[in-house]
Amino acid sequence: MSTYFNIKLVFEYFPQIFAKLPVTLTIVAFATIAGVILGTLIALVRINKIPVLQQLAVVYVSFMRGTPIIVQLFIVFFGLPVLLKKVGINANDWNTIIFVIVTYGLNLGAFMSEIFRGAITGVDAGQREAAYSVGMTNWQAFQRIIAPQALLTAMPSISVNIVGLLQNTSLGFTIGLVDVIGEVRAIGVSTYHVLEGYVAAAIIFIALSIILNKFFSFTENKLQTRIARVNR
Amino acid sequence: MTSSDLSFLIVAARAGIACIPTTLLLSIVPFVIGTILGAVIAMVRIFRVKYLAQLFKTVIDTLKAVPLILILYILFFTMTASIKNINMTIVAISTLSVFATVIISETIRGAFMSIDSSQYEAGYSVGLTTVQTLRRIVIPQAVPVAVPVLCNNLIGLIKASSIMYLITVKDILNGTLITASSNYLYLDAYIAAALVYWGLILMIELLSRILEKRMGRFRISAA
Repeated sequence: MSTYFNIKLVFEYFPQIFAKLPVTLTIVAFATIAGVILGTLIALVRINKIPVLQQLAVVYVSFMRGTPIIVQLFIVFFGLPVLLKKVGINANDWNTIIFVIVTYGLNLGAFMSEIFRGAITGVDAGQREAAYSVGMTNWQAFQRIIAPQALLTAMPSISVNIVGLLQNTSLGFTIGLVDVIGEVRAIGVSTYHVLEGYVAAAIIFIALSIILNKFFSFTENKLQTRIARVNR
Repeated sequence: MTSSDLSFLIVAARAGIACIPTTLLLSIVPFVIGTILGAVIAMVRIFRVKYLAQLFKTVIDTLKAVPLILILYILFFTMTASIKNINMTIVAISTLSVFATVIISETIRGAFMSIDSSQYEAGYSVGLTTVQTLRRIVIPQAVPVAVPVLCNNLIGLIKASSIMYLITVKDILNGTLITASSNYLYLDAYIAAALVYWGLILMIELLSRILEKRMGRFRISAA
């Protein structure tokens, strides 16, 4: 047993693996920003029923939800350079992290759009009417009345998706990304000890999830008390 | 895309379709195992069985935080080291069963938590035992809540099973990729794989919607 699993090595490899954490966090941060922007746009297209774009959005969201993320990752990895070549951009020597961020942003955007759409249409119509009745414009009503309430209902689903995104980043190594998992594999190549590295990586992911969940429940509480105060 | 590419896309998609049974095996077996184990875990946690409930909560919360790929590799290396010539399909099914148990136990727990405690009290007040209350009052209400989520869990399992190509299981993804090994048209092969997965999942979504409607019928008549 001890020949292929040595608990001491878990601690020995840990700092080296932990050093790759910024790669994972960068992906989560940028993909979240991209996902929120794309998700908002798609949700607005679908709520306002903009012709053509709406049908495209339905197909897009269905594709993103209906195919494995690893397949999407490879399609972006092989397909994006081909697509960019047509407009004269050479993406062949781009850093792999860009492809990972693009894929996860596109994927998260689809899931976010569904959450946003559900949350926005879920706000009672009377709220909008009340806003109009006191003379607010369309944008003011959305920004001050609809959006805060929608955000509150959307928060739990948003956090589930971002924690999911964190876990999905672990697939980046398949296209050659050297993140936490990629580092474990690099260690494995030189030392033939890989199980210890995976255990160390698992510990990192568990800790990150706990921190992320704590952060989200904190923001949710904050949001809730703020809205409660306004309502009073 | 030239016509030769398109014909390759069809070849690759065909190879992927031929491997649908493997993907279904990799998702349905873990789904069944996950439902059984998940139901037990959910019950223990709902009825707050001493020690066991706390233990399950810790285990589920921990496993929920570990990416599937790590569960796969940790199980892969322990299983291949301890059992000689182990079949990779077994490693894949074991990994996905762990994943399924975690997500389905949460689904079932969520469905039961959505039933108001007054429903239990109502059952007890007319002299039903706990088992009777569950069987006649709570479960019939919890099932329609759980079914759409369970369908989502199954779809999640189908998508998750695609990473088993990493341990050379010949599922949809591997089936399509093998066709590209001689001509290197990997982009086409991945697009073909995506289309096969998409079709399969759309079909399951359709079945789920039909099932939901049938369930809904009971709910309306009960209300």
